[in-house]
Amino acid sequence: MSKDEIVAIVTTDKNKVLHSGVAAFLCDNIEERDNVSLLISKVTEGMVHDLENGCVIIVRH
Amino acid sequence: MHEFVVVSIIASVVGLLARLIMLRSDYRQYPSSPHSILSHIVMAAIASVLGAVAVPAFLEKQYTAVTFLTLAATQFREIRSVERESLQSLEETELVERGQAYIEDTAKKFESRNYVAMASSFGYSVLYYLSKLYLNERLSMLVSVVLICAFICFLYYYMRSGRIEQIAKIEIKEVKNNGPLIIVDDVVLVNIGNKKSQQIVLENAVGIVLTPKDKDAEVTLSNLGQRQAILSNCSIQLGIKKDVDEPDFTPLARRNPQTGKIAILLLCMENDKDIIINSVAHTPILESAKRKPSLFYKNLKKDKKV
Repeated sequence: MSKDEIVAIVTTDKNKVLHSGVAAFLCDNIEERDNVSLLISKVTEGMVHDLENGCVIIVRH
Repeated sequence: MHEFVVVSIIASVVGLLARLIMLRSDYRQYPSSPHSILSHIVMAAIASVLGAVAVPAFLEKQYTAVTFLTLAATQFREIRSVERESLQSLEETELVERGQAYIEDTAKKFESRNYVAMASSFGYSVLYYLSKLYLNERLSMLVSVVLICAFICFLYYYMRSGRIEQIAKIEIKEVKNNGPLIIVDDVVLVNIGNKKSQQIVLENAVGIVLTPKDKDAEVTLSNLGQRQAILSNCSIQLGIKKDVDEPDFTPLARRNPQTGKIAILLLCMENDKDIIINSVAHTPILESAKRKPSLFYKNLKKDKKV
């Protein structure tokens, strides 16, 4: 079984994230989103994956 | 000196030599420390002594001594699990894991190499006493040494595992991107959302494509353990540009299900393309990954003819 888990969602568009079980962070622009996702990924040792709809998810593989 | 003692000593030395030939601190870097080398030599010495004394003990009607051989065989089976456990416990400290299949393969090799030591010394004693029925002592000693050396040579070549270069064509390909997706030879390997990481990957990573040479190779390369073994081998030999908090730079191997080709993404310290190709080429084919569907088709054809 896969041990991958989504640890956080970082988005610039809050309408794209429904009520989620994982932590979701709203950012003002793409630059802030990229920076926040990088910082979270460094803390959680996760990997940033771009969903190309304004959202990125951080997944621990 | 008593004949039994001489035979046992020569047989033990032959067994130990057989093990020493196969004990190399090779490019797979294991066993690489003097401690593990010593423990392997000691185990081989015990195995060869046990193999050596079996025939003389039997001739002396010391049947209890012979039963010890079976006890020893059980003990040597433990070697595999000890090797497995030790390699598994080291997995967490590796940036790129060896993988279960590679560990199992290594453990199996160590176990079987001990049997080689035992079989060689046992074989020497058997050959000696058989040839003594027709020849004098010295001549039979010489004949059995020559025969057992031939046997060891045969085992040495028989037990050698194949290499990736024998089953696949290895080429370096350009690493491209499509948005966040990293692509090597039309195979999507990973989605890297972080722009800086993506830039580093695009500039420094090497794309390698393995094209299987036949149907058997296609199935063998699809094995996840085999792919992980390639990645582990490359990162041990070439060094990788990655730390624990940088999963973006993890080496990856993905398969093109249409063609059976394997695309590899590697961010290594080495820049020389020949060395990189060589590293992949010299990866051993794992016993557990080896598949031969061609044999099935051959049998199927035979059945149809009948």
